[in-house]
Amino acid sequence: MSTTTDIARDVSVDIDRPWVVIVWNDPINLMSYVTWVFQKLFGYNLEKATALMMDVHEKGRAVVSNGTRERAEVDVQRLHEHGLWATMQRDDA
Amino acid sequence: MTFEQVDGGLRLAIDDHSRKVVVHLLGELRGEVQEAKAATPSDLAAHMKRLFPSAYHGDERLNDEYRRLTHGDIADSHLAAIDDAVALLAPDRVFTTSELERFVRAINAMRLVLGTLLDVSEGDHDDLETDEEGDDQHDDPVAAQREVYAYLGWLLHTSLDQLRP
Repeated sequence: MSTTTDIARDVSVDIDRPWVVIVWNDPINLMSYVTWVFQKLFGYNLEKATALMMDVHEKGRAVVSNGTRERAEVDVQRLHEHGLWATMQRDDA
Repeated sequence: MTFEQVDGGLRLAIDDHSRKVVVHLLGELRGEVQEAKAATPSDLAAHMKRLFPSAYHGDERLNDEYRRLTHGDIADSHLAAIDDAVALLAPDRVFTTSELERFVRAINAMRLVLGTLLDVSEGDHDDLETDEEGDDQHDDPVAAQREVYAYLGWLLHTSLDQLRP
């Protein structure tokens, strides 16, 4: 049975745990396009954007941003508008 | 050279036939996006799903909420990029950098839809170059689509080169 304290603790954990935005590999998007989108949307320099793109390409996914749920949802929507396959979830770490 | 540096920006230097083909395809894509905008998730054509991905793995309630909030805006964003790209494909039109960014988005969207129709997989060559040119190829609609897909990849790559600082 949950107590008020338990519930308060759960809510606190939920609030503190950030959301992460994940971009998934797909066989169609060009590597140069994915790199450009990361630079444009997140302001990453070429080195960081390329490293993230390589993670997507080689590991199948990469975390490209994190923050509140609202922030993550905005990032996912912008990625979708640019044709990237992106999802969001609570940070496992 | 695909782009020429001119006063005020860049000019796309492709032949008239290629220009007309791309404009025609953008028109078809526009119709598909408009249909997709009005579609429910279950009605959405399979080849258009790539332009409207879900945002949450395995949580349909959250995905429904995400779609309710964003589906129309994402469709409008695709439509705006397509309209801009069609306008920019007018002969002798000069592109600014921000206009080229919207052009790139529209070309990429077209490539995503065509690549989905062609069932492109990771093992395929990046640009799906067609095999040796032969007379049979001109009668094969899939070969023609693969040729267009390869052309769009080249156009996208060349356009991105212009956006690099």
